[in-house]
Amino acid sequence: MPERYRDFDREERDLVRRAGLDRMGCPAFDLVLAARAGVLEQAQATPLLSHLESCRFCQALCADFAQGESSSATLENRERIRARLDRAIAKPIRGPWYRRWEILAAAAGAVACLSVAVQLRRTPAPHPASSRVVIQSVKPQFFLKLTAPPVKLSLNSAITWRGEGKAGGDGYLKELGDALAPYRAADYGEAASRLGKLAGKYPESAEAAFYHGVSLLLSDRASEAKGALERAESLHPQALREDVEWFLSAASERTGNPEQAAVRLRKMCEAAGAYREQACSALPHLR
Amino acid sequence: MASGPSENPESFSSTAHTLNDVQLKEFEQVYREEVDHVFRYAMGCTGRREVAEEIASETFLALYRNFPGVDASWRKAWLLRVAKNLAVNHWRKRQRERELPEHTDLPGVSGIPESAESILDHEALKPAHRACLILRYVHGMEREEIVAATGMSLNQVKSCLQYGLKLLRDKFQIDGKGGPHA
Repeated sequence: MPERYRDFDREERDLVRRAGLDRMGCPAFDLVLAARAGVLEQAQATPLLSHLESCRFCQALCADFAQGESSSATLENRERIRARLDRAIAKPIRGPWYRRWEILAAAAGAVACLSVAVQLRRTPAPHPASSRVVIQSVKPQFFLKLTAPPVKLSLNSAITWRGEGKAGGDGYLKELGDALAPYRAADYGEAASRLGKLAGKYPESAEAAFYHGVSLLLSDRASEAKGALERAESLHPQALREDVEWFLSAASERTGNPEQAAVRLRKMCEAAGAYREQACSALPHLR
Repeated sequence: MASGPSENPESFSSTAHTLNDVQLKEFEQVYREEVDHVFRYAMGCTGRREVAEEIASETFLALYRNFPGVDASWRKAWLLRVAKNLAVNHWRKRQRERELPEHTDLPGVSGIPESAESILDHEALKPAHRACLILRYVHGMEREEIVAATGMSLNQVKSCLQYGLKLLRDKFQIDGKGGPHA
């Protein structure tokens, strides 16, 4: 009997064995869903799709998760989505409908706290022999959080590129718009590729270098990102100055140079800029 | 990218962090109408509620930041496209972090008795029962893991599983103590 049936009682084990379900060897259902939705790399997806084609259990589960109640948002899911969105947007955007949710959520929270308190009093500590060892991969923890900044194009830059007619004038703006389209759609891998080409074609473009650097950083390619962001910094883009500073700090932290990040953060913390609060709160962790 | 005609980067600078009252109202409306749809789509791409929440909020944040530049007639497609890209990023990241198992040699399913599959055709088996039954008896998930995956309460999951167990019991002639029926 595979290890995955560890908490089954005797009857369940017998039934699973008799039905042959313990020999199924189905891959994790989230992977099968991803393969079916077309969001996995081809090499990863092919064997999963091949399994899916012949497995009625996986087909049924995919159908339930793609269309059924199993994938519907619960009230708690909606609350958390909204809370994340409000946190990300500087000014919370809440209408009267949200007030009703808040009251419901507060009531639900109070009931949940009470239940947990009662449960804690009742539940004995688990027996050491029954506790499971959970193996998790150790991931580095970074204190500088990354959120893709909105696209900004300085007026000066637009005038410069148009007025001087460098490499086609208006053509640059169009190419920048095209290269930024995947960035705006959160496809950072593709954005990094397109913006990298653009930055090579227009080496004086701070926007191309900056958004190239951010896309690389958001694709977990911090070393390359640092180079692109340093290039952007050297071009002194006034409209992007603070953003460049913040993302260079993040790139420094992620490439194992927290001291460099701290130097930049200290400056941001002392100045009255958009990143002041974030810089001040991250600084103690990097010292 | 299906963002409609307003791809001109000159419009980007005006889309920073603030929308005017009319745009904000419109954004709220789109959010209310589409949040469930986007979440459900993200669930279909990732199978994990916490990831789907993150994708849904990031998707609407992207819309908020690009609101004037996304044509109203393209919004729904735009949202799903963004959600899909975020799901692709999520899986790429997991693959880079070596969290994904290799599936070069998945076992076939030809050895499964037909009677096991026929449980799926039982006319009284509702989708919720079916999902719980498969997650428990094929994937071997614990009840709490099924709660996390499906968003049902623990009592609902237990009830669905009792039903699934009864079906299995009927099908494979096992009494409640683990022995075959006479």
